[in-house]
Amino acid sequence: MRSFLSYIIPLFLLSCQVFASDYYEQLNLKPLPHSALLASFDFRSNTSLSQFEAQNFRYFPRSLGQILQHVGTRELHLRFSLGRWDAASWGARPWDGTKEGGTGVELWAWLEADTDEEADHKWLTLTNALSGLFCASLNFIDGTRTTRPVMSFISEGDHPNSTLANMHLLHGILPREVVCTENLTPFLKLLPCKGKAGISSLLDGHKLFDASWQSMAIDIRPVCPSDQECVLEIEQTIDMVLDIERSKRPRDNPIPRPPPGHDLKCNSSKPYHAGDTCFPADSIEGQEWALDQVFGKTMKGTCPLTDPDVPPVCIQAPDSRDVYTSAGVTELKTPSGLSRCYKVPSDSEFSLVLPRMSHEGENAKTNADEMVEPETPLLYAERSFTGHGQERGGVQSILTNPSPDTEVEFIYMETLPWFMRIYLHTLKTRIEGISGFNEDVVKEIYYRPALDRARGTQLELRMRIPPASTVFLTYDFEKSILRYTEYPPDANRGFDVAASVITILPSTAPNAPPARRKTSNLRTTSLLLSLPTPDFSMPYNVIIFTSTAVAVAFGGLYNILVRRFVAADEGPAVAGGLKGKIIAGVSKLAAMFKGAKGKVE
Amino acid sequence: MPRLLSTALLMRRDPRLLKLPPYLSLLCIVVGVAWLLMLPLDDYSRRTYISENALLPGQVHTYFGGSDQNVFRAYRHEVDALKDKSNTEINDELENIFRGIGLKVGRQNYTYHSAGNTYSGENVYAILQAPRGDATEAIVLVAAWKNVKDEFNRNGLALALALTRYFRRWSLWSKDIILVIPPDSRMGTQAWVDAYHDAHDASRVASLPIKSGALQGAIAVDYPQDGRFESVHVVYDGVNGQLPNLDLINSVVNIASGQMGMGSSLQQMWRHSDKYDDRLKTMLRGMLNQGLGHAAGPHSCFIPYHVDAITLQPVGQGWHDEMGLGRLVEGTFRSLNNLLEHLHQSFFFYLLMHKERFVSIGTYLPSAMLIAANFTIMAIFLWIKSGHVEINSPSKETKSKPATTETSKAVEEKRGAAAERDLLLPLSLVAGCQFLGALPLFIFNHTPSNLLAPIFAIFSLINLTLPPLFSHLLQARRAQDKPITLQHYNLSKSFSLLLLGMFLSSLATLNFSLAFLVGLLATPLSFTRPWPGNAIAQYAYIALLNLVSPTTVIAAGAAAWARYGQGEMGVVQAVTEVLEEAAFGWDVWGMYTPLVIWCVWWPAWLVGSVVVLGQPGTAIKGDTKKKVL
Amino acid sequence: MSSPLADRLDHGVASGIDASASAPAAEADDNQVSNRSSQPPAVRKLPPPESSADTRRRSLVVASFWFIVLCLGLPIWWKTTTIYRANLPLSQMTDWADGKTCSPVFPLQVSVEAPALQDGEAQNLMRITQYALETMTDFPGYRLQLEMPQTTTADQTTDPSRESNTALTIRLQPGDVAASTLHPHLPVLEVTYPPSSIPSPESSSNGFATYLATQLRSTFAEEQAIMSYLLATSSIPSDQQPQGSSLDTTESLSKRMTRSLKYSGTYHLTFSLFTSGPAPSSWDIEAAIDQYMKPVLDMLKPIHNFTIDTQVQLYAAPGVHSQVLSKEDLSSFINAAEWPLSPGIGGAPTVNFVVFTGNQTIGMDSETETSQSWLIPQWGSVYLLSPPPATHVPSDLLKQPILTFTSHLLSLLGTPQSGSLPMRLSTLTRIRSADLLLRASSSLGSLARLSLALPSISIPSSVADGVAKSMHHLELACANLGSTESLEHARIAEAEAERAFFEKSMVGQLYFPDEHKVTVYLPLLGPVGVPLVMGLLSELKAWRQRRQQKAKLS
Repeated sequence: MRSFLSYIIPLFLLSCQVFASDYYEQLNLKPLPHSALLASFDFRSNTSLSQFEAQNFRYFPRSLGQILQHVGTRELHLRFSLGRWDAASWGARPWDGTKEGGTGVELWAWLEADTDEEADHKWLTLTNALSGLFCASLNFIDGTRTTRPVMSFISEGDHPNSTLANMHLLHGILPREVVCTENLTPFLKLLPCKGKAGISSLLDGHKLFDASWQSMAIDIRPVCPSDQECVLEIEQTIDMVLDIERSKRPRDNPIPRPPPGHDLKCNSSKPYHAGDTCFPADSIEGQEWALDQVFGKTMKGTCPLTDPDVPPVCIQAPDSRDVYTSAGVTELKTPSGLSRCYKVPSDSEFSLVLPRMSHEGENAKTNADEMVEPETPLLYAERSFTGHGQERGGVQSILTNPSPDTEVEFIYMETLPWFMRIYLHTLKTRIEGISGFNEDVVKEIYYRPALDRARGTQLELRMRIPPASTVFLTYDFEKSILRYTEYPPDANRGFDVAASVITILPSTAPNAPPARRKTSNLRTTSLLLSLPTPDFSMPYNVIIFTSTAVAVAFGGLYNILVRRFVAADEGPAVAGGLKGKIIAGVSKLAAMFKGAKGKVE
Repeated sequence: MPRLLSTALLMRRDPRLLKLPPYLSLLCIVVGVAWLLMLPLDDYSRRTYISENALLPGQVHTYFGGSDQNVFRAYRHEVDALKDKSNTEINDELENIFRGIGLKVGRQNYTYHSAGNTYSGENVYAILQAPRGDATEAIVLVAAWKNVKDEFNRNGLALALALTRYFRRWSLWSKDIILVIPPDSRMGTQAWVDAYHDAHDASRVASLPIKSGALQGAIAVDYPQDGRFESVHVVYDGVNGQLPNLDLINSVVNIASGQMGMGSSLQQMWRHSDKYDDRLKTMLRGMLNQGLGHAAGPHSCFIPYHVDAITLQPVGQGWHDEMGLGRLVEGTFRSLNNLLEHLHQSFFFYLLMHKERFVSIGTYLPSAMLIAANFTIMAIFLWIKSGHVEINSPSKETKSKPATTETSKAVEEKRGAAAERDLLLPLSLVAGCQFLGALPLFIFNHTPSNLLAPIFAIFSLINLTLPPLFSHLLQARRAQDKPITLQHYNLSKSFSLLLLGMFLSSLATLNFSLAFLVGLLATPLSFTRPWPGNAIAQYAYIALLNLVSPTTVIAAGAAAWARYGQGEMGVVQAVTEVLEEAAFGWDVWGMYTPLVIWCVWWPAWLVGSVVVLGQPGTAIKGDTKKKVL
Repeated sequence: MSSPLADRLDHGVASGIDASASAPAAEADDNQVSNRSSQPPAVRKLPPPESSADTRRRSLVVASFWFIVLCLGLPIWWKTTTIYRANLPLSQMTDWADGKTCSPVFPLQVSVEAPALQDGEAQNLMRITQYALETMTDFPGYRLQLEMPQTTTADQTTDPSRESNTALTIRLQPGDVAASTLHPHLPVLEVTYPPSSIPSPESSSNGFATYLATQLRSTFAEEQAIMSYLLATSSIPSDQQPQGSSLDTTESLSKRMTRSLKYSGTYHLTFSLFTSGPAPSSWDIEAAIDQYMKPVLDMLKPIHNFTIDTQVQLYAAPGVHSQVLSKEDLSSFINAAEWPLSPGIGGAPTVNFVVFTGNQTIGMDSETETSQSWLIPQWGSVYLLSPPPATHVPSDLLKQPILTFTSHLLSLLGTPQSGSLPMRLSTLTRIRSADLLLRASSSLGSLARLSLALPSISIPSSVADGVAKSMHHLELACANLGSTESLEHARIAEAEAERAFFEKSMVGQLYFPDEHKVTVYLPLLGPVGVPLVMGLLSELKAWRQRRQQKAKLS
């Protein structure tokens, strides 16, 4: 975490005085192992609350401001995420995971309302308005997907105590939503410089959504600096992990055809190495890449609204890594020697080239020279379904605390759909990796059971995991059968279960490193729950079949009740009707047969 | 309605009606078999078609090839270098390769005990996480170190490695791709799938360190042969005769023939002239595999978990090289990748008789059902028949020769008079036999493999002597007070047939072929009857029964396998292998064929032969006396 | 057949046996047994007489089945399958639509203040002028009523807004020549007259009176034209319309009417500063608005409220890049895809005022637009501002744009163009209320027609409430036409009528044909119904037979 902070913290200092000039933007690049590149864009603009109340919008987007005022939103957080962060190889998350959401769209906000009903109503309006603004189906966040987290989310803004009293936190998440270009365009529209100048001119839908992992975040919170008047701050961040090899491909030819044999990077040390036999070696050595190559376009100057003292681009690479830039760019190295920033002339185009560093030959470079080693995260979390079949199943979350010496305390929140009926008594924790640990890792449980078709299950656990140990958290659930009309068109695909949110609490230890002093977040992947699905093709057949069965049963019962049974030869005239004929015929045959028999005897 | 009933009442009393059922059940059997033989005709079978539109088989260009072949060769060298290493060393090396490609790697230990042997090994598997995907869905690529015939799957492995490396370059995967490399094809995948769905017994099988989402499909590559191949052999039988969704097979066949221009074959029919006899042969082979219910390849273990899976085996000498197979796999994966929903459109119950011809359950089920029905008919018939006094039973004939007219008249009166049924003895007999079935099941699943053959021999001998023993015991027990009557035999036969019919008809919906085969072999049981007077018939029939007894059938099957199957072996060894396989299936795969044989078929056979050997005493007289007074 | 049934039959037969045994004509048991089993019966025997208990039980069974069907099944079926239709006052609604209930043609009071005249003279003058007004041919239906304020004291400070429904006040002052001027800020017509021209009490016509009349007429000409236009476009049959204005005026009116926004209590004004480059990035809009637009907005207060927001947008390229904009370009100038001009949420319609800083100009080929700005009907207006020197736009630069916007706003609101501002506004009130009245009643009428046309559409109670409210407010509005509260009532009425007409559950109600239901449920109804009916019939037959037998016996 340290090195990440090494430029996060100066940013915070910067941003404090940046409030004067109301707009701030910066791009941070961070090469990752396996030729991946983390690019995190950060745009921050703010308006004084008085101007906001007067609806005079300058840097703050008007379309959003209107919505906020209309529904009395005090603080709002919106996340669009895609893919998964590979913590094992990429290490800790950018922004400590505070600026990312579960797969799909996630929204939580503090609304000012007197009653819960009013809050719900406002929430509904908010989601509808936002769905229109961001081209996302946020309006599907209905009562069944909305929760009121108790422990998980902490308000980030400075709120006057007057409003604190009746602020309601509502949280909703849409795991099924596929984030794509149509969400980026409105996102860019909110920026003062749109996509036209500054670092935002690098953003391109195709590259962004080809990334291995990406998260767009919007945070709106009131901030009250000590000496100045309160401002409303909107911060938009885009973090993406690009696979350099993939994103270097030209857009007109994105197909990964096999390269010609001679450009194949081979491991020539192998005995069988030959012209037609090649053990691939490209994954060992890093790739060379350039900014315009990776993003598909060059950066067009800087946004004129920013403070000229703030370097728009920073890259996190050791000083031993050689980086070439376009002309007229001034480089600022941080004392830590692990990152450097670039000041860009306002009108010239800017690009950045990181050449390939050969690992053999003289002045051979090691990985340490090539990239900053990613820090190990505070917690690894993984969640998956257990069991199989259509009736019941289970969920298993594996939570690992990698740190050798410090224990980690966090809040684990699950938001489950109502048709996934969990049995709380089956909630169990098993701890591995540590011996003789006999206290319960679950310290506190907040559980709000689901109501069918009304609201989902909300489960929040406060847990503490001892150092260097793994906790298996498991519980069972039952799959309920939906109504015919409640199935989505692709019922057989299954139903997405939202990611569980993990909020790591700041450690109270006096000598805790800065990374542990503030809350950081973590989200598991979402799950795909398969429910028993009927055959939708034949509802009428079913109706007809059942009613026939009912009718037959009824007929039998009714007849037995009202008919009178008499001996066969006492019935009314046999000759009547077909049955009579049959009976007559049968008895005649019988007579003949008897006659024959008699002759025999 | 009551009139209808009353006429039926009349008919029930009509003696000639009581003669009908045997012919009826015979008819059922004949029609059932005929029905099955009709299926390969064009009018009864259908052409296959893709019913899941999302699959779009063969619609995508496949780019695997070119310099990937160099990589493939390199990997093959690596694999060859590992040929004689131990399982762990192999997995270490593979793990390095995977990490080099940039995949998440997991390993899993497992140990199975069956028939006295201990099978253990370590799976290694790698997850290629779908870019932009989250771990909700996954496709599996299986390349076992050794295939079912214990051949070294060198090309398959190298191909799988090269493919995975190639797949990593694409950004279009919507599902994770899991490459599983079990040390063998029979239990490695089983252990892996069980653990993946947490259905494993933690004491024998370790759970998986890393996982992905719901499995949507699995393709196993089985490519031991060297050099180029001509066509690809699609193996699709699952454990207990469950089958993958027909769409999967269709799309593979479609891609192979349409895009790659390579032939495809089923059920080891290398040359298939799309004619009646070839179709019939294919179908029967399919039914045999299905009926045995064993794992035909590494894919079989996936199917019980509703994961559609097949194995691809290159066969023959042709002009297609490894890259061709690779492109076939690539095309199939692209199709599976297109899937929005789990495969559900097409059929899960079908009989394939050609790569492009099949019959669906609606069409073929009646044949098995008819065969099962014949037992039920006989059972009901016997129940009714045992309801009243028999006149023209042979024993009676002999007695009634010197009888005077009024006795005959008395007899006349008695015809059709309701006789009360003595249920205790038949019930206990049938129940006893049923429970006895658990004995061989236990024995054959728990004897060490080296003892299997002798024990089987002993058991068959016992099996031979068991019916006479039983009937003698019955006679002896009933000798003193009231002898055992025909009614008893009828009743016990009726009960056992009732059970048999019930079991088979319900089994037919699960494993059609097994139900059909067992039913066919058990048909003689519906015509068993005591032949008191005439010993020849009796012995002839008992001989027939012994010909179709479970033990004989097993021995015969083993012999046939030893004769025609690959690799020459003695009958004894064959029997051992068969029983071993059965025990293995029972322990590892949860294969229920032994259960059906020993607890459904064998008891019925036992009761049947007891009935044939029966010596019904002259009981009617006493009965009627009782009735008259 | 299932075995329980078979057993039951056995039992039935057994009972038969007993019955026959007890029957008078009985044969030997054994024969009978053998007979029943195989032989055809030699003689058919009557079934044994059934005990009365059985017959009663059977009839009770049948009755109970029918009881359940009639008293439970049918009501439930009826309840669950009928569509709820709240009953609407259809006749009244149609009356409203036809303008029978209340035609929006109403008299206008014009008060005459003649401090310098004696009452007699004044009355006389008024009488004659009124007569002159009536006799004007092309001025029908639209009656002006002259009246004398009760207190004709000398104080000139009579606030005309005191009695709201006085449209105009005429101030007569003696002067040397007959002249009339409209007061710039009050609805007052100041007329000077030569004292000689005051008519004598007995004279029936008088030059000055006619002059007065013509003045009045010209003052109200536009309003009358608009009114008649509204009536013409409304659903009211033409027989009770004042046939009035000529054709050319109608089409110019229609242009103006289509240009103006739909009426609403509040409007949301959005002032946007767009620029295709990085500058200017801020402006003094608040000050400018306060300075140049507030006064007008304040005057509009009684009719409309306004909410205002402003925004600055950089790097916003227009839809057209040509240096000189032709008339066609203007339509595509607004770059709807890129410019964030989303309408404000919360009901109030948004009026957009766009200041675009760029050195583009408009080709002067059309007479209505200035070279700087143009008006976009029902949307707002655009002003092209030449780029300022600095990145900040001071308020004095904004004077011209804001003034233009103000005038555009007035025309967007549909205010008439002639007359002094207060006159125009009071006219606006009347026009608007009439307009809303007509809209509301017409939508009521169409709702009535709809409910008559589709008998299978469901009408939830909310619709009925809406209609009731709407009509109530219509009546209120009708009660005192022309006043601001009538405007308010009319607005509510119109809103309610619209809401009732566009009720979701009505629209969403899809048509599910009855034969469809029948076909689906036939397999149930058929086999259940037939035995029931047959059973009933046979019971009735049996009952009649018993009756006859009784009759025979007795």
